[in-house]
Amino acid sequence: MTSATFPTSLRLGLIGSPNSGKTTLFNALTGMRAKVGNYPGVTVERREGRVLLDRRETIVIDLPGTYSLNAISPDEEVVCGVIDGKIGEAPNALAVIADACTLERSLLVLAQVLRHDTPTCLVLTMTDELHARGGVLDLPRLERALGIPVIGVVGHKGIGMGALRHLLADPEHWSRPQIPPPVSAEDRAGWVDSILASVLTSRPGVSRTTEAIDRIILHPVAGTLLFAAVMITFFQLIFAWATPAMDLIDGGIGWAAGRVHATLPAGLLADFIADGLIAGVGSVIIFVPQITLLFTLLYLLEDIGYMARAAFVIDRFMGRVGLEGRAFVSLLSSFACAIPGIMATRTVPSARDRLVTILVAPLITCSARLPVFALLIAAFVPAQAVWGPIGLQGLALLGLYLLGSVSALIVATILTRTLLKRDSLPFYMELPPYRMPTARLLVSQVWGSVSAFLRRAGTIILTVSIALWFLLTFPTVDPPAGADAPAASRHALEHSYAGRAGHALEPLVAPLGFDWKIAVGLIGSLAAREVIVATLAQIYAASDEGTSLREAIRADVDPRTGRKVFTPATVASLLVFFVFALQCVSTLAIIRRETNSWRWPAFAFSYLLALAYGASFATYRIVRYLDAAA
Amino acid sequence: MKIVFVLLFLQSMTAAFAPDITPASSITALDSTPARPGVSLASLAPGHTVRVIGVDGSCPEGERLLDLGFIPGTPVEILKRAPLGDPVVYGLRGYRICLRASETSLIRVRTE
Repeated sequence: MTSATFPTSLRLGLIGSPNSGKTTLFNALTGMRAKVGNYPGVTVERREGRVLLDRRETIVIDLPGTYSLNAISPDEEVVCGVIDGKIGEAPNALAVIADACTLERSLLVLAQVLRHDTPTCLVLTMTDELHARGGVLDLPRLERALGIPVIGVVGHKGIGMGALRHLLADPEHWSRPQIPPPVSAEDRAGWVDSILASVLTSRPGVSRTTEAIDRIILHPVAGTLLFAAVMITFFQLIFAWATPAMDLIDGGIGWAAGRVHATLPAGLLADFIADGLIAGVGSVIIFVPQITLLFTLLYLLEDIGYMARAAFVIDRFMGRVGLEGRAFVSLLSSFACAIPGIMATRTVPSARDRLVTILVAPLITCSARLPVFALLIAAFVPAQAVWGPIGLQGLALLGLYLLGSVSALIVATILTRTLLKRDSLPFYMELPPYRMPTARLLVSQVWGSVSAFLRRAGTIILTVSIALWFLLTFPTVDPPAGADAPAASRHALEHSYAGRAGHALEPLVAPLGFDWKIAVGLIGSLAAREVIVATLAQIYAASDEGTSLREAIRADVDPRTGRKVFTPATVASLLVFFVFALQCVSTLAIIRRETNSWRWPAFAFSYLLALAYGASFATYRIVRYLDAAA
Repeated sequence: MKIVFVLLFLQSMTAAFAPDITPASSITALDSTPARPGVSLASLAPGHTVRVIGVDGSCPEGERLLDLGFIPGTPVEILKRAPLGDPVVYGLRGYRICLRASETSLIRVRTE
């Protein structure tokens, strides 16, 4: 940007309630140049964009949506902190964004903003909707009554945007109110009523479309069925429909690694590029299809206005565990993968609920655990029918899913009632009118999320993937004479840092019934849980990850004791360990990114490790006792 | 398939966690006792329009309800109850908001 020509740069804060059209306006002003980040120490999203407004360099700050400046939540504390200059440099000017159709409520917030000294203007959005609903508003008179500039726009159609840019670039010439509005809530309401009485010559009627749609969507039966249908689609989308794209990426990564091996001479450099670097990049972009799909649907439902209705349907259930309806979508997405699940918490309005949801999301059984469960269940649970088509293997899998989900709800209940109790907030949620989504807004919202993932979490995931490759590869040793390829690979792994760490960890994991081989598998699974299957295949020198590996682990005997390594107790204990433990660096990276501190990923990792260790220990003891008794 | 399990499971969990869905008390009982200063908004069934008498503003929840527009004299429409019994959608000051019984019990109203 040509900041030299425009020495006085401007900081402009956008204030408004959720659903006021603030985000649409922010996107219209800043385009794709917005930077999405976090405010320090809190799970509150920070969105800023540097633009030229009427040739004046301006930093537009999109403040979190708020209904009041009496801060009771972290989001509101951020709004107040930014306005007062306690968080970063104070803005030179404020624009209050208000939906023209809900002016009565919006003016209550404006009254609070006008008690600050900062130059303020009022931007009325959805003025087309106001007219369509028969409302007539006298803007010049409103301007005189408030004593500040007032401008009407239709953000998504770009109407009035030129005039708005012109106005926003020149806060030095904004008029200021003669007398600040009253302080007490009752007096403020009186102030609002008296102003509206003179400027709103005709009040907007109810939106017919919204009324008609809500008759179905808020209907106890139809609404619940629709909720189920939307959630099933949502789940299917994240779980299944992202798979072709993910397979394609997987195939592409495999192909690229193959090309490297074919082109470069065999050796460490080729191994590093193919198995370290390319595989590491692959482990980042493998998430992109899921994240893109998730956010497309999430923001689509949000922009239409359905999200609040879905939350309304499920709120009581979530309320029982101390959360609110909107957290449901996050937890549901976590069945596919905790990464999109945790990123979806951004639509949860309360910072505390966001944090609790982030902390319990890793407990929900994600799809990466499925290959691990599938291997162990197929190898050790007999495929016998229990009742009709229901088999023992299916029941075992269902039991693991339930164990994870119930634990997530229990931990959420505990967290909201103990550690994070003091942050509990009143619950309120606006039901906005239904609106047509616009492709432009949707694209910029989705792009913002995907690019934030790539920049902030992707770098951590890539670094750790390469570090893990290093641990599993070095130091290199010569294979024993006459060893075939699987045996040489096994030998190399056993003598690597990870292999040595596995041996060193054996005393620690022995109480859970694990030996050093499982310990190495657990280290490998930090890259992604399903990697334990590949690591075990390498250790057991299995020719494939299916039948051959199954036979190998079933037959494995401890040379010291002469007993089977995978006893029923060990298998049960390992399954339980995978239900609880957070051995996934990508999840840790995304928690770091969403909470903007290492404190919460450290907390999540520790409490889940403690939980996993305790539960696995208990499971091992109990099953061993039962096994011996049987 | 799994989602069906999830939903069924949720329904059963809700039943297990929440056996006590407060039944909406009958409005006729209130009409027959007009001398009372008002009733809690939480006690009224959807379909009625009421007017706010006051909010217990001594706690942050109450203060926030005032900020949301539940100011004495404001007419409030009770619109729709959620399938699981709570929250309820209200219409006031040109917008719609849903609140839980834990918050609406702080609001005293009189029926029109």
